[in-house]
Amino acid sequence: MKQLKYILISLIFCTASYVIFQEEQPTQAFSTQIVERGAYGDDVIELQSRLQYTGFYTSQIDGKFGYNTYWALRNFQEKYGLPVDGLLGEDTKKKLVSVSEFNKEFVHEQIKKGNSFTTYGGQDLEKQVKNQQAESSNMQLPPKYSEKDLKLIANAVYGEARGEPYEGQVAVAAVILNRVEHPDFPNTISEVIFQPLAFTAVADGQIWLEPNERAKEAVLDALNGWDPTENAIYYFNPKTATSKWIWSRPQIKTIGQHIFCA
Amino acid sequence: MKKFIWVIVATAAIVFLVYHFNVQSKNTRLENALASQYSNQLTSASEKLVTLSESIDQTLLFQDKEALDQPLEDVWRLSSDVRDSISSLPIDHETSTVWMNYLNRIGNSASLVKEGKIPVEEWQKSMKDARGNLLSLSDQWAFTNRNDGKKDYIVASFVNNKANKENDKNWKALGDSVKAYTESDFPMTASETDKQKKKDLQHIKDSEVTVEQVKQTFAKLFPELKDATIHITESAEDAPYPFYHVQFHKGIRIGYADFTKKGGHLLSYLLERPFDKTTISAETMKEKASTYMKSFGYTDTEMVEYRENHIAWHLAFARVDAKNDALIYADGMHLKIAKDNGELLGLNAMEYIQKENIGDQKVVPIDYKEIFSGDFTIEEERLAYVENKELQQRLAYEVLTRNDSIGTHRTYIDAQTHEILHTEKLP
Repeated sequence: MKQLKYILISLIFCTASYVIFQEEQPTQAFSTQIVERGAYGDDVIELQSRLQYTGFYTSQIDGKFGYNTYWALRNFQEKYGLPVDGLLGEDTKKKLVSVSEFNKEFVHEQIKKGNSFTTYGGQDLEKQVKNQQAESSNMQLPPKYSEKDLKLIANAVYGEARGEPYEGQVAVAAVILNRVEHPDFPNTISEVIFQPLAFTAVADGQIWLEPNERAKEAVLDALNGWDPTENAIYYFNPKTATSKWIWSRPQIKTIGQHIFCA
Repeated sequence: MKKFIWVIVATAAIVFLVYHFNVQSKNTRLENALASQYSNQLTSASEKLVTLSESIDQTLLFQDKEALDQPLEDVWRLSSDVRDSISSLPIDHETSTVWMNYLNRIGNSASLVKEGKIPVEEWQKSMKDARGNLLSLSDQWAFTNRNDGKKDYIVASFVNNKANKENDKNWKALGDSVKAYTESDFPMTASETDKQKKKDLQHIKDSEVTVEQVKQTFAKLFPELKDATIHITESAEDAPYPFYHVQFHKGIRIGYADFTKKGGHLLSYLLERPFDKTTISAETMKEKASTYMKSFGYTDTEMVEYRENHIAWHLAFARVDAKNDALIYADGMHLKIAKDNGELLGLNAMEYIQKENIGDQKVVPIDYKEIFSGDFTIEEERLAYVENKELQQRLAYEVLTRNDSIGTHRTYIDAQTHEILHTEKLP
């Protein structure tokens, strides 16, 4: 009887320790930061993967906390009786971790390879990799623009101005965007860039060079509204320009090797 | 005699080399011209397909007949537009015929729905798949460069295919087919986003400031750069509005700030420096943004969105009308804040300097159930000022609608006339 009593006490002690240990254990996976709409990075990748594991998230896992992720998170919070605020706080993280699995290595490898994939629970992960590429950059853009726009303008900026200061690269991107809005030019980015004789980089084939991160960052700033040219629609290098006409354009300012004109 | 033969052989060799070089250069130029033309056609078709898909999304969003009219007309017009683009693409005849027929059916159906000959519900049911098809085709044709930075692989393959068919690089016939096309070759009806015209800064009435005053303003606004090396130039005489261009350099920091000559208002500021891998929290970033906005005196604004990127956050602000708490997007402002330490990397106040004149306007209550399709739920609403087709600022209901398969849309409905002013899909 005494032995049974000891076993019972030991069992209660072990159970209590386990419960306390579990409650005090910090969430092993996510970082300590509260993550919300507009965020980008590893926490969002894990959030999307875990939400997809539980069937709440059906879109691409790209690390960008947009509206699809936001609604999925709110649905998850509602189902599990958490405050429905669309914020990834400590309680939501704990619940997500307890009801889902996250294979970090697998997910990051697929993203790195540019594969299209899903992470639904109850299915073999390897079988969820589709035989197609998922095009996604590491940048979040204003709703008006797409990643295709970023890619195309970055190619043009890199081909035209990779030797220029950062301000000069933002300026070239801004000129392209100013032309899209200007009545004298085509209304789409591709038509502005590929307009005959408009850009040297198109004529000499440099448009197809892979742009670096600096060119992409410059384009991102221009897409977000920065225009160091103050509304220019032309630019030229006075050392290499052969057209006399370009000198007749009203000049605005000089950045690096380029004169920007209205 | 022997010497003479050598001279002839040498001359012939030189002539041959020059000829060969010329032909090579010409081929390269033609290859670039073809690649540009094909790339433009493909990319343009890809962009138009996205616009068409967005218009189809809008036809799923509304149930009100008047609200549906515009997107249905857009679908009809754009499907015809994309069909024309596809007909000129360098793709095989069978593929283009299939797609052109598909687009033809979409366009015709949109027209019939508009005329009331096909029920809206039937259209909405069939279009849920169509939008996905259009987007995947768009992805295939988007501008891309793989193959280690060599010419666009799609274009290159078209060029090579065509070249081989035309008797092993017989570029002459191809060269003849490359015409100097103009924008009339590609109707530009696909561009529907020409909304954010920059403000005309020519009419600022403030008095002119001097270079010395600009220096002082710069040091006051950016105290951490007060001992930076700065170089100030004035805008050229022909500039649409006069401004000062301040270029600065301090240690690892290099950048610029532009100020209007009239009034010395800050137009924009941008700084470049190397970045650490640390990241401050979003909360800290927001606190810093709020502090920056207060210190610059932009106290009548509200943050409307922020986007985290790999080195910085980009934040958008809009002025708030004190009368009705409505957002005035035309008086917008942008900040760029470093992720590693919250430093201000950029500020763009070009649109904020000249504030919009907002007139009084009635607000007539609205029943969203009459406007939006039952497949969408209304998540948020507030008032905002946006431009109508006549470029007038109109007070509008800003409505956030959600459908888990089609996406989240923000729609602006004129608060007085209930006309749909603008709809955009949110990422």
